Amino acid sequence: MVELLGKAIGDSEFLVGLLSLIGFLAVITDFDEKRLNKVPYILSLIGTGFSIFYILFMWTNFQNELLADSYTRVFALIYMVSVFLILISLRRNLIDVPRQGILHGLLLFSTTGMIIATATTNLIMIIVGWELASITTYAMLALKRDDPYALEAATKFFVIGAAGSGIMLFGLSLIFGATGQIDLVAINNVIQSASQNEALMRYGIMILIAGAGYKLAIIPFHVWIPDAADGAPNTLAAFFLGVSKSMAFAVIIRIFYIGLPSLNDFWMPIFAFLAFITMTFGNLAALVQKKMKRMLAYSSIAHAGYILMVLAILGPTLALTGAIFHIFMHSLMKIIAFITALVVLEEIGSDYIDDYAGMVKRSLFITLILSIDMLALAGVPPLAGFWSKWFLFAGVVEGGLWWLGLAAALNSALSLYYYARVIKVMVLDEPKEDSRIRSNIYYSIPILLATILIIVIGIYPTPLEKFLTDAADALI
Amino acid sequence: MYLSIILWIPLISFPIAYLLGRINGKLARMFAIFITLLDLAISLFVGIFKFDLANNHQLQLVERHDWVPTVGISYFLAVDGLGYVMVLLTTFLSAMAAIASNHIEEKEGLYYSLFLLMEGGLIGVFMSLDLFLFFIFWEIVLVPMFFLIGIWGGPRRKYAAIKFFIYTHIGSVVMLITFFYVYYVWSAAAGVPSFNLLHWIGLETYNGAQVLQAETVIATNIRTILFAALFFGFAVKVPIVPFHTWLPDAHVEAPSPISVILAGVLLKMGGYAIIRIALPLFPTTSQNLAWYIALLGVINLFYAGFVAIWQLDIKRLIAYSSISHMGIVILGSATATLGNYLGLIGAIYMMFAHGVINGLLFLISGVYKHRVHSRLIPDIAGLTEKMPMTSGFLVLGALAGLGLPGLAAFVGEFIVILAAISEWKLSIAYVVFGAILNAAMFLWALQRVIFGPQREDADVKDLELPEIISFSILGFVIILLGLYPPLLVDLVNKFSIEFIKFFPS
Repeated sequence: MVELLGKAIGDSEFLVGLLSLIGFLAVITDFDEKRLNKVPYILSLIGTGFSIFYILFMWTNFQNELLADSYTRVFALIYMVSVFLILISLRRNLIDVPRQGILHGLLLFSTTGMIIATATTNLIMIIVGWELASITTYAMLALKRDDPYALEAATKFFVIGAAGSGIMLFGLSLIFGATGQIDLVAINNVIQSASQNEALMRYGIMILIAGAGYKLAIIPFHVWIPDAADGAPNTLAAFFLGVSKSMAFAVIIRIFYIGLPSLNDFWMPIFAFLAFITMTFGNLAALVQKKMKRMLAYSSIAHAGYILMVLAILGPTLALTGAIFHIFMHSLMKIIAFITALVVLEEIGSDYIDDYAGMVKRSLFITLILSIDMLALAGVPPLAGFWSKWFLFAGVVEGGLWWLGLAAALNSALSLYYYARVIKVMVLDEPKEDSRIRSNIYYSIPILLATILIIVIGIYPTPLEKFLTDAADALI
Repeated sequence: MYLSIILWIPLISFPIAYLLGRINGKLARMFAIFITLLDLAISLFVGIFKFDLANNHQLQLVERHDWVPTVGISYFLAVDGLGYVMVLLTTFLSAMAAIASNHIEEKEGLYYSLFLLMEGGLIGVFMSLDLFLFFIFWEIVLVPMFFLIGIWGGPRRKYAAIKFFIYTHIGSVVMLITFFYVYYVWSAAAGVPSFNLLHWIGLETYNGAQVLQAETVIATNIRTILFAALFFGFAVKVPIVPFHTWLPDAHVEAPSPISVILAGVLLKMGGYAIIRIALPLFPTTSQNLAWYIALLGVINLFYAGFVAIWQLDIKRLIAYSSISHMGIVILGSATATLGNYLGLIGAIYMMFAHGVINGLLFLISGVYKHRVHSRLIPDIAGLTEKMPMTSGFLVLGALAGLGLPGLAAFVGEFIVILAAISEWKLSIAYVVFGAILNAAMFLWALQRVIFGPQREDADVKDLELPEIISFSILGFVIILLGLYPPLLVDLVNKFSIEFIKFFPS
């Protein structure tokens, strides 16, 4: 029956409808302020869980107004898996937020926006989806009303995010002005027939890059990220650094690969330069961080630099496969890192890396999970992070930018230093206290699931890689 | 199938050892000893019944499955004479070291689980012929070794562990970059991606019929750089002077069973990789550079010998003697590139013999550390009457180490020096003095430790049962290999004769 529905209205429409419905139900089932009201929580879990199942096994490839190509499918999978993992831990991390229904509703609406933005080539729809995904995130961050740091993070995020969205909208409208079209395919046709306004087009592209750069966390539009990540609750930090950023990349890659490929001589060097400084400065800044969350935020910037390389070339399939792969793995790895840091934060009340000393004596589980995750972030084989990085770097070299691929490889080697430092502190240093750290089930389950995913994909990446290659082919 | 069993037994059982350690440390110890002995038994069984000795130049017990076909990576295990000798050395020394780990008294579960993980990684290195797989196992070895030194080591363990990790990791990064360079060049020339070593060295066809030697598609000057880089990557592990400084520190700080693995097997990774990968991959280049490679070996021999003589810490002395012995291995492999198969046999013999001899010596130094709480020669001197068995084994190990005829190292040393002189005539005859230096260092140490004035007041105990068992087995193997060299030579003779055909004559 569900498949029939999918066939009738289109896959993406089905997901959008399902998630908005569940989100709506979550809001209205929040009858009272009683914090033990589990209905929204369970509803959201069922909704996202079913969405994952639908994407994996019941996808019909039928598209209506929104696209249902394999690119959309892969990204929908990335969002849903990440949101599912984050949702599990929301029950504990944000249990003190008074309106649980609104929290879960906002999260699902945000995911809906992401799917809309990904599943379209229409600029208006892209803006609608992008704004829906962003505005809900600002509201979620602000839900923690009694925490001044969270409020500060929310304000920062809101002001800069809104400005970024506005600038991006301005860039898109310049592109519209230059070509007279709002559909990416039509825009590309106009450009190919060389009847657009060249100067306006270039301004539009540059302003679009600047606007989207805020969301993509690329240097020099990155300054808000460490502060926001530091102040925000960990689960939400994982959400906007992992999932929202995946959405931004999905959209930007689609815009440039479908809408503007003919102007690649203009935008490829810009992205090559941005990718280079983003990964280099991200890694250098991460080297000197003392707080775990700030380190993770800078590492997230560095990873944005790696992924951005796919826009510095008009890729061979391998590079695009690698980029999508890395977007997925980065999201998973960041979720593990932030939730593990959350366990430590709750137990010892500190986020400083030095306070992780002797973790191996206090909780082997945390040590193992975090060590595996750090190694995966550094790209140590045979963990999943290695394959995604390799496909990406090799694809960039194959695309002709060998110096950028080499720079990325060197950066990746450099990054091992600060990731390995966490492991060194946890294992070799003497603990300051001896009390054991116990992770509760709401945190253990998502990090365990994600770690298993990372190991399994690392040991046998071929099936996922085939799936991702399809997605990359859909765009090229 | 058999190789996978040998490889995966320790790799699967390492978490179990940890869980058993949660219940009781002794349980983890029994389990680890059982697993290492089981692995040793299986590898002996495979060697006797499944491995075709007469054709030890052929890769046998082959297992190949595609792993990541898009980029040409496969799960490819096989052994020939060289690989089998190394696997046997690993399983043998791991079992001995596990038995002799009776002084590890804290966090035993973690210790034995890391130990098993390391054994699995080492076995994987010696079995994999897909270079990507090889690299993964190469790196897997590093991590448990880092923790084993860093957690259970001596007072300066953190420094030693980090130094060890940085040195060897830089080596592996350089090695990886070289692999990737060759991979891209070869794959571009052949049209199919492959990490298969046999493809690269032109032993196996691809696309049905063609054979492509990687060296032929790389320009000559780049070839030299690549060979130097690859050689450097392995030389750090061997270690070759001047990249050796991590070794004495790591040895002095590591617990003695770990020193056994470190000297006995880890250093052999470097020697093995030079013989298996660096030389056949660049046969012309390595032949042109043979004299320089030999020179590096000779420098190792003399430099380490001179430094070792003045050491007061007996473990440091043994560590430097390791470096000096590895010089002979390098010298032997250099002669092989000139078409002298005897040198290669000698080098492999030396690797095995050195593993066993230094295993014994390191365990003895551990006994002194545990009983006398010092390893300095003045502190442990004059205990012969109190510790007769320890002293006896020390004499045996030291005599074997200095290359006494009838004991294991002599055979390897003799063959290598013979081969070197037959290649370079008198210009290299002075390596004999290196051997004499070696003898001087061990004899002087023996004289001070064993034959000096006896101390009456000391309150020390002699060997315990687990130590007696492992020491006797090691001593037995040393004598056996010294008296009956064909035992090992028959495993690698055909291999060596075939091996020299890589090099232009």
